[in-house]
Amino acid sequence: MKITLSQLPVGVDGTIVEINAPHELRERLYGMGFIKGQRVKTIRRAPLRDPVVYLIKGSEISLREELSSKIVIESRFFSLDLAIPGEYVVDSLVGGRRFLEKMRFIGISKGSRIRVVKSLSRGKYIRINNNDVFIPYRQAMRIVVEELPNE
Amino acid sequence: MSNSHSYNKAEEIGTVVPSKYTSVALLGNPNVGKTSLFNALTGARQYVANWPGVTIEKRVGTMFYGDRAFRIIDLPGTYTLGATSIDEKVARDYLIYESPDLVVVVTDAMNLERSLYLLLQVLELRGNVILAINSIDEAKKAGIKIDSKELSKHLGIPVVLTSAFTGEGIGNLKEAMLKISRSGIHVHYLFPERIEKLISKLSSSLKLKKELENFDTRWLSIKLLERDEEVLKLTGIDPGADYSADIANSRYEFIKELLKDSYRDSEKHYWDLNTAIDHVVTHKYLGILVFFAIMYLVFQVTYSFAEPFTTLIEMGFNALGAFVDKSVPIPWLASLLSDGVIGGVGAVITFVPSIFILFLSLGILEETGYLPRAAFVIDRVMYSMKLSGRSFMSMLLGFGCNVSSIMSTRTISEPQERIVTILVSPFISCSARLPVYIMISSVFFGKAAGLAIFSLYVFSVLFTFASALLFNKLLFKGKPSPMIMELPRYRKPTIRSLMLYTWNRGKHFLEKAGTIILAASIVIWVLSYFPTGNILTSFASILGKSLEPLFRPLGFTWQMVTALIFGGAAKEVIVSSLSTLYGASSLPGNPGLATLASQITPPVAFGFLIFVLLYFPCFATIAAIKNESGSWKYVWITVLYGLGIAYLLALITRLIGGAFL
Ligand SMILES: Nc1nc2c(ncn2[C@@H]2O[C@H](COP(=O)(O)OP(=O)(O)OP(=O)(O)O)[C@@H](O)[C@H]2O)c(=O)[nH]1
Ligand SMILES: [Mg+2]
Repeated sequence: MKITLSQLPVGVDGTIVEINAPHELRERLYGMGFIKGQRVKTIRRAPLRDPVVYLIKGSEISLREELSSKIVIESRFFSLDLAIPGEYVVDSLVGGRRFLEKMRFIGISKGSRIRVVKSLSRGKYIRINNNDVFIPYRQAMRIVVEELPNE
Repeated sequence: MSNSHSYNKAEEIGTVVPSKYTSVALLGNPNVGKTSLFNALTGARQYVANWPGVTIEKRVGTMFYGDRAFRIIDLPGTYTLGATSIDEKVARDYLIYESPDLVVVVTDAMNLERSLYLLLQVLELRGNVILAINSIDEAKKAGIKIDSKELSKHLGIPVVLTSAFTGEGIGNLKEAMLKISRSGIHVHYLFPERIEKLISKLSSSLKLKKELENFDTRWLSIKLLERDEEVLKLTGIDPGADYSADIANSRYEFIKELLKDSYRDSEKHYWDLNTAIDHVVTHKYLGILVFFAIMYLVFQVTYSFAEPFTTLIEMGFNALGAFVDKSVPIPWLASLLSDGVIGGVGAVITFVPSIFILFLSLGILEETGYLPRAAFVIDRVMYSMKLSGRSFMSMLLGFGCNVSSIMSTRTISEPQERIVTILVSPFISCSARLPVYIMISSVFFGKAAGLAIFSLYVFSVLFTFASALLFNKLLFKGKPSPMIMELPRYRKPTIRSLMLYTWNRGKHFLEKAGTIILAASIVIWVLSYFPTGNILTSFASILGKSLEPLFRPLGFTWQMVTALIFGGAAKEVIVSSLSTLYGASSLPGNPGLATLASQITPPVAFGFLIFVLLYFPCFATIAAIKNESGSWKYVWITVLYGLGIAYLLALITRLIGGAFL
């Protein structure tokens, strides 16, 4: 799916599709290796979530969300809050033990298959193990899923 | 920048550099080791550190090799030739308008693919290019294999593997420079068909323009297709669509092909240690804690490690003073030498250990690569003040010297952010204030002296932030720079590089002691000896006493006021003034430094330190503010603001402190 670089979860990589930054910054980004078709990986978020360090062509570069939200990438992995209705596999959960526990309670852990049924602005209705569950936006942000190809 | 201007610059250089010199520019991405190579080639000792953007001005050095004399030019780092910030523009303009005889493109062996991008841009522009692949020592350790012969064959230019660290390949680089200076090579690599077509079409129309005959039309065409603003203006041609993405992709495609046979990456993941360290220092909660812990450690170490040495030096100077006093028969001369010169300069020299330890600590922070991490951690906070982590880095450098922090703002691309950073730089507590803090703190705060000093540093950071916020609100409506920053890999600093760094920075302090502080000490002695030979009726006391009523609300004595006036030359002079005005025992009527403790209370003393921190910056800083901001207006703003707030806060400190004690 196409998402912005700023939406790429930590530890996940994707391929750059488009760079919509202003001309003078684009020049610089090219020189640092941000070009179409280039793989880029999110390494780490700053303590206050912004900026974020990305790994590109072997070097670590920090970008603010302001700019990284203007870079479009193709990634099979993204957080659940971005998912459109369809089939997904949970790739990882980002959070402390309490969050993991909560997720396990509703049956979500690494590798579980889920189907997004309905997408609302405050969260997602998903179907897991034949149960319908509502996942609020804040929690959905912390669930990294992988797209399953339509069979 | 207009073209005529750049041409003038070229002429200027022409008169400085004799034609028998072969000029060689060192160009490359930030932090690849250009300055380190420059030092290795010329024997210079220019400022080297592990973060991008250290060099901000071009530096020139000479090298003799074979039968030739070379003039080597170290340039600021840049990622592309379509540069935006001032430092990058220096590199671009030098290359384009002053056209050196040779260009050495310095690249990073650990990160070759990315750093070859700039090489291609240079090859588009001109010939006589050498590729230096630096940090080959690190690449070898990481198991990376580079075939320089193969690379050279494909590129058609000399390729040298170097290490500025071990010295490997430096000889080969010199040899390559000598060879190419005799022969000269100009190669072109080709873009894909469709772009080449566009290039040749543009080229033929550019060739018709007489005024462009000094430029390479192929290069102009490429830049036009990339919509380079300067070239668009220069040629007056608008090719319409923007092909920059296409061209950038083609360059990387070319690089990929190039490296296929000549570059083998290793299986080893050299990022592992980096990742582990970064996990801690940029951690959500730990990150900020680590930052403050490091800062606290730096200042604690600076204060306590230096103390024994300080005491020793002090004793030495006392003994020397007493000896001179006894052995010089003419009383006034004896007093000039022992109280003025030895007392005044000695009081400052006493703090050499502290200053050097401070620089050593800063050197460790700079050489390891921690500095950009601190900027990364704090960036969001800075952003809410319309600044960036980059300006925070400049501020941290100010702990060494405000002038270097003002200079380093050249790497900040947004003008408004740059000016604000310049305006607030004087409020970062530089090393020259440290002697004053130590002198006063050790008299008044006893065991808590270290804490008192640290709190001044914390205060200086907070005050700098607050001022930045204020200036941004009042004066500007711009936006902060985008903070596109590369985090360098961590490096273990070597003893040698740390020594060099410490000596380079600390040397300045010694130079000041021998010049401005010495001069000021003599002036102060003269003013406190004449006309009567009694300090209480001297010029210095007249001067101090006439202004003292102004400072009476703050509780300052006339000696303190006099010292503050002379402190405008350099902040250390406050120490030498106080020591002459109080400590010079052979001047009749002199109360001695111990009496200072009975004259004022600790809150007044702390107020005095805050005043010293904030009131007007030294001459060198004022000159830097003027030059870098380009206007006296900004000097006035920051000086008057500083003075006003200094007065206010010293008053408040006294009142609050007085209420508690
Ligand atoms: N191991 C190793 N380290 C190197 C080598 N060359 C430079 N360094 C280190 O790399 C860092 C950057 O070196 P500089 O010479 O300041 O780099 P620069 O290219 O001048 O950087 P800017 O002026 O910021 O563009 C320093 O910490 C150097 O000690 C090398 O060949 N081997
Ligand atoms: Mg440099």
